[in-house]
Amino acid sequence: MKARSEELPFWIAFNHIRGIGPVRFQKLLEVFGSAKEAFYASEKALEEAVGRVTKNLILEARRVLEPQRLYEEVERENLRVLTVEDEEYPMLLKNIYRPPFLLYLKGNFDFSRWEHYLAIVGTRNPTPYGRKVAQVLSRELSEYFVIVSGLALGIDGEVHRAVVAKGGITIGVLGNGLRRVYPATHFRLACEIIEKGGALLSEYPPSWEPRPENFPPRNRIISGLSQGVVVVEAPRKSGAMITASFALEEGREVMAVPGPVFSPQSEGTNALIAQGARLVQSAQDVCEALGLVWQGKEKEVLEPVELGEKETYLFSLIDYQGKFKEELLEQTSWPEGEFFQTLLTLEMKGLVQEMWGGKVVRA
Amino acid sequence: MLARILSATTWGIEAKVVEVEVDVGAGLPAFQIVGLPDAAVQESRERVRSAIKNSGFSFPAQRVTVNLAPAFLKKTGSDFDLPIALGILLATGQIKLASSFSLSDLFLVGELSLSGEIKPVNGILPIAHFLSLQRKDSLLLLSLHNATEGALVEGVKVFGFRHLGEISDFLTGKVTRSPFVVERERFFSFSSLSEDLSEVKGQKRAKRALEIAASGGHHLLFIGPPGSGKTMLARRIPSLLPLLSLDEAIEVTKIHSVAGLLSLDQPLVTERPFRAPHHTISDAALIGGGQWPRPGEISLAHHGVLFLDEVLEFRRNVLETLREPLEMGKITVSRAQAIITYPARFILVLACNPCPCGYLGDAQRVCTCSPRQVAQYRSKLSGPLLDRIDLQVEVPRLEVSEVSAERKEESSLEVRKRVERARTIQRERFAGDRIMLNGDMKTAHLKKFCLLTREAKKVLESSVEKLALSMRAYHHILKVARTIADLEEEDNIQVHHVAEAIQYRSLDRRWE
Ligand SMILES: Nc1ncnc2c1ncn2[C@@H]1O[C@H](COP(=O)(O)OP(=O)(O)O)[C@@H](O)[C@H]1O
Ligand SMILES: [Mg+2]
Repeated sequence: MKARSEELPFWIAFNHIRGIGPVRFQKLLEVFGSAKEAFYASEKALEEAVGRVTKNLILEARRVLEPQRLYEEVERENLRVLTVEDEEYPMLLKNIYRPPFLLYLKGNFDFSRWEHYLAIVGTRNPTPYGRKVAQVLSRELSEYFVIVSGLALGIDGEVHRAVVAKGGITIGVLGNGLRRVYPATHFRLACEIIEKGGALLSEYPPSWEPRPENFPPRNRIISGLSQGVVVVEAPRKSGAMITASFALEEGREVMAVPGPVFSPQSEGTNALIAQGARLVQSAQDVCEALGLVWQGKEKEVLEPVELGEKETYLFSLIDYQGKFKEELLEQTSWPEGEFFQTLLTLEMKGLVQEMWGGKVVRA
Repeated sequence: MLARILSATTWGIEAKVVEVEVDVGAGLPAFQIVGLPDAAVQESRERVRSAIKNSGFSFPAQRVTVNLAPAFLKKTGSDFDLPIALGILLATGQIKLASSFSLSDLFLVGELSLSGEIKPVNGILPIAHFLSLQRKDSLLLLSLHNATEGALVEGVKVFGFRHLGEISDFLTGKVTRSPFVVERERFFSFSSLSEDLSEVKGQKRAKRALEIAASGGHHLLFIGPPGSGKTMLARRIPSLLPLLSLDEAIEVTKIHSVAGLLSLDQPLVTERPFRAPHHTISDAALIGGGQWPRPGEISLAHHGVLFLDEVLEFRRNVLETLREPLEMGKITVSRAQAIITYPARFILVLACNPCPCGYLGDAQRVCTCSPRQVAQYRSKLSGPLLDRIDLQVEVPRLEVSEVSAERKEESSLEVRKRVERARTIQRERFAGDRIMLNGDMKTAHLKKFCLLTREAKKVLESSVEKLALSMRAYHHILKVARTIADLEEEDNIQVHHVAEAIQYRSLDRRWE
């Protein structure tokens, strides 16, 4: 790149043009030698280089965008910009087919300081089982990897939360600009990620809102940043499955957690395993798949929980699909006080969990 | 000639005396009414004129002036037809009052038809009640259709008439009558007809919540899919509450009387009201209003239940207006014409779906909402109104087989006995304080009245932390636990009381 400070505003400007991605931008750089030259090139030259449609996009952008202003805005947002030509641009991502030419990063994080990156992803609508697995895996694997995920509701949220709680480092890749956090309920979580030394990352200009079409490219970054992808729970059609297929294309390790055959939320993961993805039963499996030496316990053994007679009985009535408290109350035919006290004890011991809508499930 | 007749009009659910002065004198024939009458009162001129003619009397071809006093009091409606007509008959000497009567004891209230029939009007009970307190032994003369309502209170002699001619016969002493009598107890026997809890199959937990709500006067939210029985359950709360006392019945009846909602065959409201306004209701109709403020749904629900189905469909500003009555147990409505206070102490029951499509967690149908939609929906459920709700209860939809199963369910009467016991305990406990029920407790009361065993305190504190319950939830849990303990006649709140109370705070949990 020519003098970075001179070029950067124009890279950012091109990043603001919907319809110009890594391919066309690369072409422009090749033809004109720099983003600035390309931005101010003659109509004719542009049309020759990238065709009429893209030329019109650039002409329109020239009318409405002021590169210097855009650059200053980014500065004001306290974001770092990484271009694909920068030293600090993550190595693993640079190696994928047509990596994003620009990344915005929030947080005091340096890709070159860390060697191992792992993506853990899954559905927005997990079962308690999925949540639990996501928590355990993330917590344990954060000692070996920087954990990458998508900051979405559901599994992603559990992943980031578990890592942050352990004091580990995690990266959230967003499908929108970094000025705001979507979903808003994860705002605090996003702050904690940064406080703990992690980062938020996006290829979209700071002010851009999330759009459905942003998510597949976002997923490509998640898998591109990582040596491997663990899918915790995912229905057949879901973002997590897209992340897995990108990982497959790029030759990254694809791993999946098996689930009950009746559970729609595990249809995707079970299918991945059937197709040859590595079966994950523990954090140790993941470490070994990626060539790291497992230094933890042989396998996390749940602490034995002491249960009384009533608790054991009530627990035996509760399954993984969930039962209404109503039903359980009838089945036990205990007085309300006794029933609710026993249920609360199970919940406090972390064995069962209440779901929105009134069902209780095994945790 | 001048005649002075007494009448009365309602003021909120109270009443005030109105003096009807009629002057018939020389001058071109004219008929005018002065003294802040409204349009309906003005129309009474035509009715009075015809009624007099059609009752075998003659209308004077002179100047007739009617003054309604006191002048500052706005007079409304057709209540004054009867006193005006009688005033004219006396002033023109067509009627001579028998010596056994004194005009200062006579109160006349009623509308006249063109043929001279006496028609019933609204608000008779407040008037009779007022007279029984302030004008003991006065005579209240009104339509026969209003006689039962008027005779409900003791201390006022009520006489009902069909026709203007009958009144004239009575007042001139041609016919003697004894005051109208009703057996008040007769009306209370209707109560057993109301809907019974035993008709609801299963739903043990929801029924338990109803029992707690009825005992402690706690407001309640039902969350459940369409058809799960939320409305059915809510309708049965009145049957769990203690029967209305005579005083309460009269208070409720006064409100319904002013609103014109009494039926002729059941003029005393003896069942606890259940009001379920539609979500398109205006705030005036909900809390009371109109140019001449009438009681709204919240006052019609006084001593009973106000049910807001599909609560999220109500406009925010309409719900906001409920704050004052929930706090004070009454509502003050001010309009240009008047400032009037109506009582409004009720159990508030809200119902809503668990998610936008309604089927989250349903056993038979699939919910089509995204997690984001569900989260947004849930957040709409918070706010100042929800802050007043002590009990949040999910109502699952039962299988058809369960609903139709033949099995013995507890009756309202059995539950009501427990509710009454719990209420007695509360009455004794709060004797020195200005509150009546656990649901009314403020923060200061919690410290004084909600004593927990050491074990219970530990469980409460650790659950608040572990289940990430808010501080707000903590107060609601204490109040409900107090009621559960009262149902068991326990002085101190124990672990299982707390454990149960926590189960009714599902909205306060952290779900993501
Ligand atoms: N537990 C139940 N026992 C008996 N009938 C029920 C029960 N639940 C629902 N039903 C029937 O279903 C109908 C619909 O119930 P409703 O109270 O209107 O439901 P919601 O208000 O939750 O939509 C009721 O009128 C009643 O006939
Ligand atoms: Mg309903």
